[in-house]
Amino acid sequence: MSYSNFTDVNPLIAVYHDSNYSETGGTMYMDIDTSLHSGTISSNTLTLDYPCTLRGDWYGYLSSTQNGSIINSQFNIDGQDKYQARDHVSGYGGGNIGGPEVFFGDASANVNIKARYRTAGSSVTVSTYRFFPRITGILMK
Amino acid sequence: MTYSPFFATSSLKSDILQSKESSEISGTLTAHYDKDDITNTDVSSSNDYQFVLSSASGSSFLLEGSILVNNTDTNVATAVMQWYDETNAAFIGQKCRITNKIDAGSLDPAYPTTAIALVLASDFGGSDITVSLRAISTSGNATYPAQLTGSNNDRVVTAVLKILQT
Repeated sequence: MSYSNFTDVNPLIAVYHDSNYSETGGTMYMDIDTSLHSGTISSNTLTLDYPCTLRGDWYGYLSSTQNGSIINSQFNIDGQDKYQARDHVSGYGGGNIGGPEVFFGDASANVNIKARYRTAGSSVTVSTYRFFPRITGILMK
Repeated sequence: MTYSPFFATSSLKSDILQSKESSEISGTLTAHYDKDDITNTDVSSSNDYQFVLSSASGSSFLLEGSILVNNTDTNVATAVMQWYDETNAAFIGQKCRITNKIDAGSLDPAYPTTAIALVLASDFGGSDITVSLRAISTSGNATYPAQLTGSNNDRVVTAVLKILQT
């Protein structure tokens, strides 16, 4: 049995993008650049030394208000897509569906953790506010 | 300097259950989730909609769940959901409100879209607690499917039940 120094290790995960930004496409990985506690970020990919449980969301808007411009968000963990959520902005009158606006995933240690958007087209611009997208979670045994 | 005997990780347990098509139970719309997705926590279910939280575990449980709303016409449909403690016959936690339409020009969500309940270890009193996610109210002509698929880019929406156990 070994113990870790509390001042060096924190079981909390809090990852986000530290400024507002935009990106355009059909399927896009969310930009993340800041990790407050556990986790290393490289090329919008988060890696953690332990298994973890994760919760993601974002706050922003789309360039398109056309019908069907609903956006979906999800984790992609170790190359595998996780359950998807409908996110904050959708085309008014389009889709006619409602769903959760947060997305979840559990990950093993030392795997590539990404989050991504799926839009209804190939030229939809997603814009987020500062501190979003964000991923929070807890390291687990 | 002193060190705290602190593991680098928490002892929390987690399960994520994929939604199944929700349906009425005794006249009340009730969320359904795949009970076979329970692999880590001390939660059990025999029917996909009633979830038994173990008293013997000595744990607290955080539940976060949602459903999907798919209207069958062009009108607005909504569902307001809340966790129900069947053992003690009481609604618990924060409600969620799912609507099938959201204005693209607005900053949403105007309402939480997941219903959250915290059942503390001190709440148990020696017996298991059975909970279900029930509708407080619904409007519109809607169905409540397990999953919805978009028109392109492999877009899919899935509701889940997230369980955290201390």
